[in-house]
Amino acid sequence: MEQQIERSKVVVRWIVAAVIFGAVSYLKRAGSVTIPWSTILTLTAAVAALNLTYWSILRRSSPHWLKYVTTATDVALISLLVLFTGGSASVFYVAYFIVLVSNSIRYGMGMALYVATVYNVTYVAVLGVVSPAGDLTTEAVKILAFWGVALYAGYLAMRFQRYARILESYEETIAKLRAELTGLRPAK
Amino acid sequence: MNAPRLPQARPTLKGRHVAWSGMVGLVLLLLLIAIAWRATNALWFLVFPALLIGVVAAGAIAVLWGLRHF
Repeated sequence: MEQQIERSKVVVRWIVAAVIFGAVSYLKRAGSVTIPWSTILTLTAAVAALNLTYWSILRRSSPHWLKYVTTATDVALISLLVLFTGGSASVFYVAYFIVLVSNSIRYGMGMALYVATVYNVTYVAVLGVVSPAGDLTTEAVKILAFWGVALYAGYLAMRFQRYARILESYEETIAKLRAELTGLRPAK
Repeated sequence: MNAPRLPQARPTLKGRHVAWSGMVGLVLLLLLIAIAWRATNALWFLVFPALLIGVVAAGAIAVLWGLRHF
């Protein structure tokens, strides 16, 4: 199951990386961001190298730690992109939510808390390097809003997982009863 | 005829525990608001995960106590 989820994440990562690369290139040509081309290409190469590494690991097995590593590297790479495209004013800030929502829905509350914690640490590091243009309270509210989305997404995922388990147990009971009924039927 | 009385389960969490956790949650919430409002250095935001998880845990305990879950 986890192997399947991580494989689908590899595919989604290619798509998101291509879209973000296109968006950064467009903004760079338009003069809206000052990130150098060398940094754009280095970040893109890093995503590609990591994604190929994950794919090669997933061809053989799916270690338990992989989901935590892939999620942490995704958040770290987005933080680097945010750092080089204006810090707290970056338009790529929303990319954090892609990682948060996709992982929370797939893995549940535990992963939602993990993503929010990694985001919290890396975003504070970004703020440490590039001082925010406005008030720090705005940044605190942004972090707390992210936590709010994480807790809500995790809660919804938890409820969905509970219903899925109930449905699974119903299916098992129906299959068992059907088998018992077949055994009770007189032979013709 | 009266139905046989079932042995009552011992509460795992007593009222005073809930009151204490509620007070700790409130203090953490006030600390969270104070840091968000008055912080002069972004490094203070690193304590948010611990404070938030504490507040949510205390809130969850209070709600479950209110719903007689314990």
